[in-house]
Amino acid sequence: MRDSRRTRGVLVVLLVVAVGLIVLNYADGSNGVLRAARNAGSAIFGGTERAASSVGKFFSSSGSSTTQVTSLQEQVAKLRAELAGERLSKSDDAQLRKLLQVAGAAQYRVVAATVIAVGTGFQQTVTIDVGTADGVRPQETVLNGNGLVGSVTSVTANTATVLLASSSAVAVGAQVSPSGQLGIVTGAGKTASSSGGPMHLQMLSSTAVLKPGDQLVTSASVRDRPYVPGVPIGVVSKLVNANGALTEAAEVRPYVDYTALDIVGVVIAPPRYNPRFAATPPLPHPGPTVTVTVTAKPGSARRRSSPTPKPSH
Amino acid sequence: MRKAWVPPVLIVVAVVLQLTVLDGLRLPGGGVPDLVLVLVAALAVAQGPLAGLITGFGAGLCLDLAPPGSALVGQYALVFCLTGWAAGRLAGAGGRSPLRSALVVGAVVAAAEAASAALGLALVPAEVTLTEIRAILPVSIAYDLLLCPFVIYLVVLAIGLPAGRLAGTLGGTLAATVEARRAAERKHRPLQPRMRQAAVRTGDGWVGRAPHAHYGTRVPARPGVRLRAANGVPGSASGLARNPGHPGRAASAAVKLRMAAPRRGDGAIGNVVGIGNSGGTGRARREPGRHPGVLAGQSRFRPRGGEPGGSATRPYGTARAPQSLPVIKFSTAGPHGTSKVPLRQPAIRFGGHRGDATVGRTLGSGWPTAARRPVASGPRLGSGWLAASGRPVSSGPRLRMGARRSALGRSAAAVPKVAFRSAAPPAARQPAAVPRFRRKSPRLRPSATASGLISGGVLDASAVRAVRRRVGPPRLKLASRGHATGMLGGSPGSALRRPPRRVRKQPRFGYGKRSLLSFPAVKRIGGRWLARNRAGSRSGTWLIGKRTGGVR
Repeated sequence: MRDSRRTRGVLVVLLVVAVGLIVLNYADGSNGVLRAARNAGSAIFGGTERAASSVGKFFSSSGSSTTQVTSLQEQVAKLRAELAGERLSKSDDAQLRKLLQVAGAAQYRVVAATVIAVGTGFQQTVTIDVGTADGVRPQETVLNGNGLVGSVTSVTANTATVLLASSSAVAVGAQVSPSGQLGIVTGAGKTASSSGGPMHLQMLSSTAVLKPGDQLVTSASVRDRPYVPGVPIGVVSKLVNANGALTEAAEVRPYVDYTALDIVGVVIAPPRYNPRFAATPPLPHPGPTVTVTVTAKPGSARRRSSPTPKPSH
Repeated sequence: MRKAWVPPVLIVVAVVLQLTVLDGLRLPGGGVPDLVLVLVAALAVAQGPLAGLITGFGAGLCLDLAPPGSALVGQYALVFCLTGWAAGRLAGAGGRSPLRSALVVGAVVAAAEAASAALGLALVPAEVTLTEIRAILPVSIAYDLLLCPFVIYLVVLAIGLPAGRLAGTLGGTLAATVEARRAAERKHRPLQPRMRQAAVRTGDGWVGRAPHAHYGTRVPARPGVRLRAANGVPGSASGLARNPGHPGRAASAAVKLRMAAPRRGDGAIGNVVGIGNSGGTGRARREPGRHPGVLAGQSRFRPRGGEPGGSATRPYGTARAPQSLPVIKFSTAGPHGTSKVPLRQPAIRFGGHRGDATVGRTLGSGWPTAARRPVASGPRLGSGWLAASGRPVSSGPRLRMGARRSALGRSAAAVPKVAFRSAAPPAARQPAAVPRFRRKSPRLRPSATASGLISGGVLDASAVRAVRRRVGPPRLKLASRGHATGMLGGSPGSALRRPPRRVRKQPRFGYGKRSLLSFPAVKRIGGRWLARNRAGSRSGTWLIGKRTGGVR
């Protein structure tokens, strides 16, 4: 109040600095100044976030028994070496096991990582605790035991930022499971439901036919970036019929819960061949449907409002 | 009281907590509370706009840079900077009630959430869609508001709040109570002269010239203007001291008063017969029409430091001022040297030490060696009476300054007293005995004040007020360069002779009229309108530049 002139001066200066930073972003996203700043921020906050996240994890998993990663496949051995000595909670173990199964089925080389921070606001980003020191580079695919998580956007020495596939800014090339038709899956962004909203699938070919229950995997990308082929995305849950649309569209229920990410893997080496649908989870086997018919006897009907008995299925 | 390291630490902890815990929460509705934003607003309310905006910028930059980081570095810095500034500003403008402060935090946080979403929509349209905002924004704001009380409480705990602001807590309430009590005391303080001992430190409560050599240092109290019997006058200290064997001769002369000063002749009021001119006439000739303080033929009146009510130059030589005579000071509330307007009007103090207020015949009060020696000769030595002989003359009451300790050490009252007696000096001696102040300045005339006190004989509020009305409030001089720094009444060369130079009142605003910054910063947001509202609509004083504190 008393020093309002100075206050105004400082305010204007800081606002100009902030706007200048934003403009710098626009002009050149990979600016040296910005990269240095982000690296500094990562160096300052990365370790703290890692520690805080491990503390939080300790509290959340306290009481559960701990085991050790044991037998898995060939690449599992390497992962186990990484994880040797690390004591993992049961849920972590289960997640890691599933991750390794997927990676093994699709022949990915995977570096396991933990989500240590989540982007604030409307961003659909997370920070994981691996970086260039672990061989992670930008534009690499991130998955977990259920399916596609996203892709790495920026890497520092010990942290990496992952842009989630649920972001509305992301479009993932997808292949429909039985037919092999191609489409594009777009994220829903942040939604009011706590488990995330459905993704949106738009087929590319007008002859493609969709039906609910179709599984989607990522299609092949150029040089396998940013998505390696064969990572499960989700299941077609509902067809969206837009009048006059040339191609079919559908809502997709993703395999991954993007609001509860914990253990993920970064694919540091793509498979030699396209695994196609090798990594998709098994379809729920349609068992026999039991139909019970109950016939009400006249006179013993309890429901007075509906004297006429109806067979219920 | 303020801990500078607390806000940064809070911010860093909040950023880490936000990114690792809060953003990963799965709360109903899909949104998550923004702890950093609420913290920035609360800190700004507690600390003001400048600290608020700096804190906000830092917090936003942390949120931008800490992994995973924002899409555009600087977007949170921009929003949070504005948030901190606005919160500090609004908290300063809107009252000091806790409810209003909490409302300010809530409103600013809600606005900042909306602004953040809008900025995201405008800058990174690919990442943020309107549908998302519509779904998430109200929920996020609701969570923020839920978080507000806790964060405010945390801030109150972490950094002490100024009294009254956000005073919903115990500490705030206490501070507000104390403040209110102080204000009440200030308001109901009655107008009456205060009589107590002179201030301990030099320059405390000076009206006249202050001894600048000891400005601000801790030195023993300097003698001020004193009324005492003149040197060489029979019956006075020096006279007796000089002629210890002839008390009768000493008693034959009139009692003279002078303003005691370190130098002979400084501030002399009565006839002065001192060392300085003893070689010539030996005694001062009475010259009608001439001020008795002026010695015959030669003026020993030294304006430099000899002003009544403010004479204090360095003591030198043997003619030191006695340390035991009444001191008239005009005291102020604040210590000497502050250029603030005193909170209360100057009060008159009568203070001193041994032999205080001995007007008239004293024995050796000015000379410490003699003062301790009881001298039998002379009528009623050291009785402290204005009249030498004590002949009863029926006249008005006289002011007596009760001595804390008389010259003979008989009475040992702790506080100087004022007593009224119907005793009066002989009429013949009155002209010389009544102190006169040669003073040209109408301001701060101690004589006027003193006469008002004496003639009425009653030291009530109305008398003081009447005198004050006549004399007017003391002119206060702002602190200036040079030797008169921090004077309250001005130096002899300036303020007492002529009214002090006034600081020209010129309204000043943040920036010049033509300035580019004046458009957004002054005219639209802050500036005149806010300033007037804040200072109270009647006074434009807030607009006056030069925060000297003097002109308000």
